Amino acid sequence: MSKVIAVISGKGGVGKTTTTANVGLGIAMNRRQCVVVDFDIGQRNLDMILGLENRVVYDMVQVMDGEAKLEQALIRSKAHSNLHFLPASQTKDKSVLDSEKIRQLLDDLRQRFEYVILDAPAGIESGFEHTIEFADEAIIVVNPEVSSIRDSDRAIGILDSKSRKVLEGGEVKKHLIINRIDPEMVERGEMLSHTDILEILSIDLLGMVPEDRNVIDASNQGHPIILDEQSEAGQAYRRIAKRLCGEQTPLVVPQVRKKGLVGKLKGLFG
Amino acid sequence: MQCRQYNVKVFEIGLEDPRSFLNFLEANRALLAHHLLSIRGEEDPEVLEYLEEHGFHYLFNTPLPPARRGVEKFRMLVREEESSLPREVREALERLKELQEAEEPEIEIEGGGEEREEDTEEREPPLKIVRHPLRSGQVVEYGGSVLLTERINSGAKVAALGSIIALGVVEGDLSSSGECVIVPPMSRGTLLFHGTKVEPELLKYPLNKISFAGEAIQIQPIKKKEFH
Repeated sequence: MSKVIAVISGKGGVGKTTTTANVGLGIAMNRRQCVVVDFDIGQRNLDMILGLENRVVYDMVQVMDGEAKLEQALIRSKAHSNLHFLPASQTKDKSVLDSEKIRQLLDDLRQRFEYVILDAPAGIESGFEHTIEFADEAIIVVNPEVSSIRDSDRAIGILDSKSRKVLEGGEVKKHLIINRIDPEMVERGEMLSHTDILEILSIDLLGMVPEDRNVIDASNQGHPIILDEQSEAGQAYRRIAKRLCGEQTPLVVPQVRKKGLVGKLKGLFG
Repeated sequence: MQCRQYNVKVFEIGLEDPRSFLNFLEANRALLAHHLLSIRGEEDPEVLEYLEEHGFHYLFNTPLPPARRGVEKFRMLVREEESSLPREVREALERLKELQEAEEPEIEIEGGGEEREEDTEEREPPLKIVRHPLRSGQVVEYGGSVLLTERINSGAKVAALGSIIALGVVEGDLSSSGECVIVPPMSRGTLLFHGTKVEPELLKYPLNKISFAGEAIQIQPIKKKEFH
């Protein structure tokens, strides 16, 4: 059974595309056939984070319009052979999206892949609505700050009222990823804790990703952080991918990094 | 192996005298039906029978993880005393009881916030009960009174010609032209009562009742007996 999972956030800049790339790669690393689709028509950037920028020839819109075959547009990831990528159109506008064509495209992708991950555009306009329209599940990415939480709350509201699955009387399963957690700020009470966020959004928690400076560099290099075994954010994404593949892994709350002996002594006497 | 994570509301309660314990449960049955009862005290056969009969979910003398603030108001509610509940609230609680006994609630709220409910009837329509959290952008507009049992998130809005009774956390906007508004303290969002903004600092009780006293707006605590 293949699944279509939409990655949404409401607000922009919370790490949606980074999450899509890492989760997609993580699923592939768990020996599942996976495709990540950039639904942010007109603002391509998933290709860069995956390091596949110079491989893009055809895009999703051309496939939907019959100008290119799906096989021609799909790009195999350099990082893992189980991962494929379908780029967004850079030139066209999101108004080109049409429900019937999207359904057809997703059905074709379902035939080939177990996991179809859609990177939604920021905001809650038509591009967003098209991304969630045929989704079976959704990953909601938030940052621990009120504006992000409120915008994702709005996005969840739309998901719960406009997706086909809901309109047909079903339910879209929702997973929450809290991204860019700064454990020191949480400890000082300056940042919402995961329990606060869960209470507001009342959906299941899929994982927590700590703030990690290496993520930006990894994205710039087109080398998703999940490939870095040392990185805390990378490890968090590995656990998230395992959970999505049905494996049990403990939830890890990002902790303040333990101080070394010198730091402890400073703490004692400082 | 499958594993699921749930957020459950827990109501902690001490059992000393089975009689008064049962009276309390009976009086608050509608409100407690969705809670997990954590009971401290000796197991009593009569109490057990009652709990089973009414399908309560409960635990005896089980240690729980540290509690969160949101729960507090409920406990306060039953500790204090006197004064009477407005008719609408009593009706609301009655209605809630009926609904919980029925299979599925028939109340529908629009999600995207675009469609709105029109009410053309002359008489005040029946109480509307919203039993799911209201998310940002969701709007409940109603010609009568509204009872909301779950949280109202920042960016959500409830506008009622009748009273508004909110039992969960309120961070969204409320506007009522009814007999009263009953809310917990509001950290966010605005509360309009007959078009007048009620300052959040004034909502200092666990549950506040805002109503008219002559020309002036008064704010009173909701107290124990009202739920009996």
